[in-house]
Amino acid sequence: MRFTLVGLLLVMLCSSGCTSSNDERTLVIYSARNEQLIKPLIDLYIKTQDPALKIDYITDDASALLVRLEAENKTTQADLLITVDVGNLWQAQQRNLLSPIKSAVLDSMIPKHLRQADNMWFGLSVRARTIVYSTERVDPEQLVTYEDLANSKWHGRLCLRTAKKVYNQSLVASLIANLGEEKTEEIVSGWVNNLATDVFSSDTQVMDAILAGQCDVGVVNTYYFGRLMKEKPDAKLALFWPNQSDRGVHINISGAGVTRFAKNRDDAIAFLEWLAKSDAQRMIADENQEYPANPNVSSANEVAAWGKFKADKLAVELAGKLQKKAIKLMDRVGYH
Amino acid sequence: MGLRFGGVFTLLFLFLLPIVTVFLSWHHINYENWQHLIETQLFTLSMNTIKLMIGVGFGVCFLGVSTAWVVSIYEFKGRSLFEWMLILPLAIPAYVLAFIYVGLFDYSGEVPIFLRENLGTGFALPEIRSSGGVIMTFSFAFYPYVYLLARSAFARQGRDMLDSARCLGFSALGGFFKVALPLARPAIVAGIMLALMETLADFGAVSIFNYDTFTTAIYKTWRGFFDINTAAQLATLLLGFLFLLLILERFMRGKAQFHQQVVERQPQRYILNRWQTILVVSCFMVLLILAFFIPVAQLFYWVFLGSKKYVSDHLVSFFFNSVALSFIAAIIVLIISVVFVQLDRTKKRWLSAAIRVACLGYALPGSVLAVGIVMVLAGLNHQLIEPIQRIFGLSQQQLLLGSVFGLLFAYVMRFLAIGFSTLDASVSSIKPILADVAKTLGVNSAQIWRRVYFPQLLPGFLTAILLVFIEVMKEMPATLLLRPFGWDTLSIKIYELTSEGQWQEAALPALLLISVGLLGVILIVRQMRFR
Repeated sequence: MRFTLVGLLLVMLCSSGCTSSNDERTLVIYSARNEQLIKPLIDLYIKTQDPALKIDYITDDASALLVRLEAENKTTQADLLITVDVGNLWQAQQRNLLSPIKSAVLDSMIPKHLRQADNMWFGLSVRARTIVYSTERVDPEQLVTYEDLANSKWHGRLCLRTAKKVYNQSLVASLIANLGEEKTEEIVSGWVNNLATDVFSSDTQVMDAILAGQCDVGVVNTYYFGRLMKEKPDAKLALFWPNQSDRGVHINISGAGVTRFAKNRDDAIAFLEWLAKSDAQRMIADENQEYPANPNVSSANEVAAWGKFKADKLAVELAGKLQKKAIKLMDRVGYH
Repeated sequence: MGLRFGGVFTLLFLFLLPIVTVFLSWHHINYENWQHLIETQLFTLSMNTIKLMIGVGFGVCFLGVSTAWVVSIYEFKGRSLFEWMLILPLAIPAYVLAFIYVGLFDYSGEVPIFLRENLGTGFALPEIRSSGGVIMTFSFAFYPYVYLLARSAFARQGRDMLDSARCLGFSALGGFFKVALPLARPAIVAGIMLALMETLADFGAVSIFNYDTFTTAIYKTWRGFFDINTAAQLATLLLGFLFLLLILERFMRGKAQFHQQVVERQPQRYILNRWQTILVVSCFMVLLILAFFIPVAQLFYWVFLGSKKYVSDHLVSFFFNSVALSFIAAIIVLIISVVFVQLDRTKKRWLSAAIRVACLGYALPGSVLAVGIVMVLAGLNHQLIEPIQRIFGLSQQQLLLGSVFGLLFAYVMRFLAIGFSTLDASVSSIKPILADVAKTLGVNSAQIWRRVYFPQLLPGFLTAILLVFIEVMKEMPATLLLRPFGWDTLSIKIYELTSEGQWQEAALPALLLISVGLLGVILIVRQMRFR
């Protein structure tokens, strides 16, 4: 037994010795954006920018990656953390897992409201969470704002996704930031009153329910709508951009930051800068039908076809900050 | 001897660590979050969880025991086919089943739409996204545990006891309830416990139904409030509840023992007439169609329909990784289970209790256990490996987290319960007199295992390996969090695709995963002729 243990330890030590003697540059990424979305970017970066670089990555849910980063502490191999939803980035920064980035390139390419105030993280793509409606049963004239979905004219006609999804938590957080907690509680409780059926576990199910006539309006991320329209081009659904006469549509980001104990900061920042430039931006946005974070890059044609909209310029960071308040509020009014 | 015991205790200690870590979360209590939980949801989700446990408990017991009884006691056309086909639903992950049922039977699903179009709007199926729907899904997904364990128990009983019961004036059904069922009780209870533990641990399926349970609250507390402590505390309550159940069952069992005669080679079965055969076969077919053929057909449909956009070139390596990890983990689980079953038989209470606690990992939601393991591995790395690296002047590196070793440790930790309870159930049914006789003949304890227990336990071994193999294949949260770079498996692909709602593209890896499970089933069947 003892010999086995000693042997095992020796093998492990040797394996670490062997890898550390290797002077190949390696960039390690922990990503909450899935392989099918990041792999093409990594391949392109290595091919066109830095053929000598080796990039390793694992993908997982953001909260799990944060636990691992935190536990690994100084010994972590991770250089770059990529996540979806600002709430997760905000948590990473809150737990002191990221380090500030000084980069003129990133500062010039990513607008202020899409990055953290101290440059701990930067948004890489933008997703809008907006209203979707049945073109058969709803006159878009009737639609105005997120708040208006609480109006009794939508009684029994609204479908929503579960409040457990971070996208809805961020949406409600943005309402709290804009309208205050009391008003928001009234609105969300109005939504719950108007629900046609139990909340769903995905945005796609919300749209399916509208198509099947179970309800008439819902709230979804634009790329889910885009995906559904690709599959069923003649689906009787359309997007509506709410709050155009005041603050604008609620947006969220996917983004990235360099870890606090990154062993290869330089390559991490170089890769991040490249991600903010037009080639990568177009790819990031197009592969998932999102909007580029860099305002100088245009969206894909099919995305642009949904129309231009005014986006809420509220610093996305605030949504992260208010996430917990939002969840508690939704629990109180019975939105689960 | 001392060294060996030392090794065994180290092993046991290692397996207790992650569970202990989870319990240590109580060192700090976040009153604000607890108050919020208690005020808003705790009651509802406790009731939901209890409803689910009772429903699934009865569901798997009914499905598993009745099917096992019929195939072991009666002879009918197609019996040997059903005998192994009834295991098949085990290969389908519960979340896949859940997704397919919701897709088919929810208001916007194909079946209700078809019904509305053909039978008018007044006709509606019961709501699938309800307690009933969730219970049905879990019962279909987990009944094979009870079936497998009960079947081998019934097979070992043979017919003698039943014939005796009949001579004493019992009806066939009376013989079942008064003789066969009580004798098979340890096996049936072990099967039901496995099903219930897996139900408690499940997150994927319940979240597809958006059905709030204790586990969804654990995830919400973790992922929403980022309060891993309160999440772990909730998990310990779950374990406490389960431990109570286990103790209750032990208590009710009392001092009863369940050893059985070794049965003759070809058991004589009662023969069913034509009408009975038709009834039995059609019941089995309905069960298999719902629990296996519909989901598989749906997956095939998606594969053929699906855009071939993401048929990864790496699918072969994912497949290989899955099989290799599952196989190695299954073997290790088996070895450790044998050690623990032996320890358990030393009749030291604290040892038995420690083993039971180590097995609780199975009932913890996968991510919670994975987090416990992350903490333990990071701690071990810090305490043991970093000092050595310092001595040798190597750079301080993380060797345990993200190593194959760490991942295998997680698998063994999580699925020990399956190996242990499967073996334990088989060992319980072996008469201790056999070992006693062997002892009087001067055979030492190692030889007793090799020459007395092992031959009788072989079916139990194979069942345990098969079950663990399939479970590891399906496992997600620990694999996600602990895998080394480049060790992506089929279940990880399924996670990555389904987490973004791309079910059509996930169909191919899902089918591959199921077919490997099937391969396992078939191998075992051929090896054993499934006796």
